[in-house]
Amino acid sequence: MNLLEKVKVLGDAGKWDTCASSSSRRQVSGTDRIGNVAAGGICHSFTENGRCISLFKTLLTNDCSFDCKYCQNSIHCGKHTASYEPHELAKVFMHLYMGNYVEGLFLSSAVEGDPDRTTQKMLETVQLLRQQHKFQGYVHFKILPGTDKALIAQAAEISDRLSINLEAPSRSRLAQISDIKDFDSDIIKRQKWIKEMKIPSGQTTQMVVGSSDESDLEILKAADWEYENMDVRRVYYSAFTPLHKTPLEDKKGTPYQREHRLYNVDFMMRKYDIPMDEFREIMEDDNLPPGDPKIHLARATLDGPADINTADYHELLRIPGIGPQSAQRIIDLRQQGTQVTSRSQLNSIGVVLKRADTFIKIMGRTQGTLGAYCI
Amino acid sequence: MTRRSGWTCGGVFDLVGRHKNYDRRLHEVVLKQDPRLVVNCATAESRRLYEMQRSVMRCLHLKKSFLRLNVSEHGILYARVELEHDIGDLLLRHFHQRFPTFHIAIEHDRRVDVIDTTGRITHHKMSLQETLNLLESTLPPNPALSGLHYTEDLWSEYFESQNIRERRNLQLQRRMMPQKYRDPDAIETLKAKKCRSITEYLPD
Repeated sequence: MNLLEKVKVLGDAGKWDTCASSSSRRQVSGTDRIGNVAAGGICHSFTENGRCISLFKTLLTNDCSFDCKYCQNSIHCGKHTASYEPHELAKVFMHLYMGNYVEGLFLSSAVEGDPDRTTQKMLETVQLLRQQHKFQGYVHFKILPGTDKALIAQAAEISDRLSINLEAPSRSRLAQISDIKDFDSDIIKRQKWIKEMKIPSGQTTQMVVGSSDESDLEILKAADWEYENMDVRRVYYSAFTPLHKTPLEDKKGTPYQREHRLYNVDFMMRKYDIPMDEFREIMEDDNLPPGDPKIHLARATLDGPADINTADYHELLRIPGIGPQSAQRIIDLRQQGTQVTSRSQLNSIGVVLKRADTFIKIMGRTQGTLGAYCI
Repeated sequence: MTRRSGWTCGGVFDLVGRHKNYDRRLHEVVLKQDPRLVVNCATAESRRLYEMQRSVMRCLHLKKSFLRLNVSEHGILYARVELEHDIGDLLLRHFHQRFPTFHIAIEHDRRVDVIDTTGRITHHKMSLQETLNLLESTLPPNPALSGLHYTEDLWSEYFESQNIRERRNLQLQRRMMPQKYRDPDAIETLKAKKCRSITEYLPD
């Protein structure tokens, strides 16, 4: 198989990992180097599904001995196998990085027999980049379930971010989709090790939504636990898609709106500090109802329209159409002795009036209509 | 007038002077307004200035993202670009931070700006090829940089491989990235066909 074919096959095999973040606060110094990191992250293209391409996201090999039932690389699936040699992968990546096509490397792999042996080859690739090519840009290193602690420590030293995928919210749910992986010893234990290590951009994780018939509540509880106990920077959600030749190919795919709603709630948990338990109130049979969770939450928790000039920061955040920026602007104006007196003023501040109108009062007046109350 | 980091106006409107339609009188009007309102964009004038600043920042961000660089065997990274606002030097400094051991040449607005390895920017009123010839005469070839001509093929294969067909959402893609940035040859084609706008070039 030539290099272009490997790029295609192994890129395709790695595309289901959704993390595309490329921001890092690591300090890069000196001039004898290639590359640096950006604190804000940069997207270099967008695919036909609208997703950002910022990293060269690839597997080292797609020859896997694990048996995840949703995965196209699993041992059950007849597939064209391909593997990079470390120097090949380093060369391809440097070509793309120098051309400003990608912002960094996202290196994952199928488990070719033994996770330690595969991880060693992955490490060899990143070490080549760092030492021979003097690459100082962003590297996201995927930890394989069951990897040895010493190897994880080596990966932590040369990477900006590590991640290991949960795939399912609990031990029993993971057992439904894989007979080989153990939730506690192969994944959670590794996350604990990673938590103890100093990594510039920390660790992340990902769950496949809908592959084991789990509820939204189970997923959100697992995500909340991860944020609380594992210090993960982000939990990513990937709606289950049935793939050809996998054991779950006849199972119905998860609607993308469900994944979207989970991201909505996840954002509110992380950025608005709204406790996970509050979302139980709006759930139906442990699942989020259709529509915008923020509007559901506002309807369930707000007593009536909130006065824009007296509501505190956290009350403002609960109003649909007001985000952290516009809420802070309203508070800043108030602290400086200026009151919001008109809708146009709110519009200038950045409030989305179409969504906020029903839930706010300006100088005692409301603008809400029944139509605006609809989701 | 200061703002906390991460906020959009960035304190003073430091980039707004680079906007193609920069209006000094508007800027002066805003400077005379109540800073409490200006800092939160709560007046129409400050909002307008803020939008101009955003437009410059957006242009810079897009060029950082979508400008593709070619690599010469003499250690020069070069590209042609059309700039809406006056941000050529900012773009060069961004790439100099990234590739400090390379000379970087960017052709725009009928001139070529070059940043050398020390960070010094020079302007050349000649074509990109002529500028490259001039620079290459002073730089020895670097064997490690040969064979970088098939990057476009690598990128095409990789880009295709990342598409998840089951999640196709062209509307979202168009919103995130205009057509001219999706097609690397689009701008060249536009020029060759003498199209005045991207819509003239696009098929129905």
